[in-house]
Amino acid sequence: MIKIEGVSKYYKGMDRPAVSKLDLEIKEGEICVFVGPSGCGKTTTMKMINRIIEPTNGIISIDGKNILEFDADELRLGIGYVIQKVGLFPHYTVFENIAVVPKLKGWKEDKVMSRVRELLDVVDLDPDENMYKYPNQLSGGQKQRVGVARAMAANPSVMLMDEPFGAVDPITRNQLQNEFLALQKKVKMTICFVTHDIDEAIKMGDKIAIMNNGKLVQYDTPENILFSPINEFVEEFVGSDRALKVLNLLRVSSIMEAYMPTIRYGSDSSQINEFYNNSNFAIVLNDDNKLQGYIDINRIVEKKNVEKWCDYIRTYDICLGIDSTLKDAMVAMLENDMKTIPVLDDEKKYIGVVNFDMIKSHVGREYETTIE
Amino acid sequence: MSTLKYFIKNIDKITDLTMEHIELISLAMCFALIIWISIGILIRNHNKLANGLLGVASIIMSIPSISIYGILVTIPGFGLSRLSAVFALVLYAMLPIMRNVYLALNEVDESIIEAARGMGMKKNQILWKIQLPLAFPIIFAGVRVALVMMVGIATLAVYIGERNLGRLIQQGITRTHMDMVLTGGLLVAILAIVVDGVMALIQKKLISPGLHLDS
Ligand SMILES: Nc1ncnc2c1ncn2[C@@H]1O[C@H](COP(=O)(O)OP(=O)(O)OP(=O)(O)O)[C@@H](O)[C@H]1O
Ligand SMILES: [Mg+2]
Repeated sequence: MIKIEGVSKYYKGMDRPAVSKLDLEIKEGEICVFVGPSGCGKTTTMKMINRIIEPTNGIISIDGKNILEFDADELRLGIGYVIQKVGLFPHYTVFENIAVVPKLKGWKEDKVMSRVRELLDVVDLDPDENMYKYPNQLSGGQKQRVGVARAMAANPSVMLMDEPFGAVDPITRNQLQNEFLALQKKVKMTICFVTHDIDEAIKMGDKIAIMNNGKLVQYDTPENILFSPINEFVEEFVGSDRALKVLNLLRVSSIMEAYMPTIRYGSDSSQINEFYNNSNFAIVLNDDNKLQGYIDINRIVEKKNVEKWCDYIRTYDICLGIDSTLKDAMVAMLENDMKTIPVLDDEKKYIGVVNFDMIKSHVGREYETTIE
Repeated sequence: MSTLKYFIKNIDKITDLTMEHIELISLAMCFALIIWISIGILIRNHNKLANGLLGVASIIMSIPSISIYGILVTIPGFGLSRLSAVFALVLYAMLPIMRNVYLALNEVDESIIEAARGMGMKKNQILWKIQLPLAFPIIFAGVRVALVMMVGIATLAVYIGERNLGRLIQQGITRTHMDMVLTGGLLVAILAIVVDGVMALIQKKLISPGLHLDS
């Protein structure tokens, strides 16, 4: 838990404080996203938490202990830090970069090695292929992955991330966001995340702290930020397309339904006839619930070839992960011209489908219940 | 042809002089490295002091070496000794080495230092593990320049009692023995080229592949 109480920061030569009387609390295991226009004090706030910058007044404590009571370097060893410009050490390999904090903490060599491999897997980089590369041999997205892996190396309970996915294209960013959320679900760090992109804030945040001119304007859940903005500034900052932004907030797991009939690959054709009356399509699964494709039942029956239904299986070009947002789902539908998309769990097993009507009705409901 | 004959006939003496030459510049380089790298590190965060020292270094650089030797031998305690010869060479290394250390350390990307600090590295660790390795290519380039320069400047130290390849040139001229002058001149040039080549090889070996721009 991070508690910020009455914290202000005056830089020399500035007539107003960069951060002014900030009060907020980030709960254990939550992601708090700081968002606001450029120069509003997001980075300054974040850097005060690991004492890169000392506050002019006020108290910051982590798990109830004033951070001034720690030795500054000791404190930082326990806090993961991802800076805006990634800041990988160019003369170190990927391995050496990630190993910095574990080595500073005196971990044994084999433990460091296995941790680095584990982390590279976590951020979806092949360890054997990338471990001994230098940063200048990596793409922008790969660098950011290594930056995140490096920050997480020694299992910090607190992470500070300053626009960690800033410098990459939208597709890679989306992917990094999804991977990070999936990861966070497992490790439950207390995270302070800075961005200037409200969409990213809505997607990543358990709580959002909207700042302006060094002051905290609203600190609330994404839902409340979207539907009960405290003043005009927040309303304007969120934008007029709230219904679309909601898509970023909701995950497919919350609306997905398992209503589509499923059939095992190779099973008896009698099932097909059973389906015939109530559905046009059925999902085909392997024995271990892996997705095989789908079949168009009408077509099979038309062709009078029910016995050989397995020859009519079509595969899906795209699937969604359980952590995908409704926006991901919409984009996938529009780009691939599909109305229904299957959803797979972390082990790539089939768990359900989403379709356009489900999104439409769900967003409508959400909008109505929260808006009054 | 006659130059070659001269060379072969006097091979022992020439080897001796070459060795002396190398010994002098090695000695001078050792001191220069210790002194100027330390000072470069110490002044890295003191811009005013650094600018003052860099000014002094530029002035020294612009004084002809023969007059530096001349001035040094008049100073009590220096005189016609190896100390004067070494000291002069060390002075000439001030600009290329100290300046490069200072500039290179200050050129290290601020965000990299901040990342290191944020990860909990101590000041010393940041200096030794991050800043110096990153500054190393530029520092090494300065050392290389200084070393090649020393090869040439050392020849003039024969006027204050050193015995080295400069002696062949000096004595050759006074005796109008052209083969001797040519041998000396050529050997100094070759030595400079060899030193430069060796440094280039070391540079390739020592600099982290992550710092080569074109990998
Ligand atoms: N080291 C500094 N010295 C003086 N003023 C500073 C310093 N760092 C930041 N500021 C000022 O403090 C204010 C807040 O800066 P900060 O970096 O926290 O903004 P930010 O919200 O992170 O902006 P951005 O989205 O552009 O990164 C700005 O007006 C900035 O000019
Ligand atoms: Mg910032």
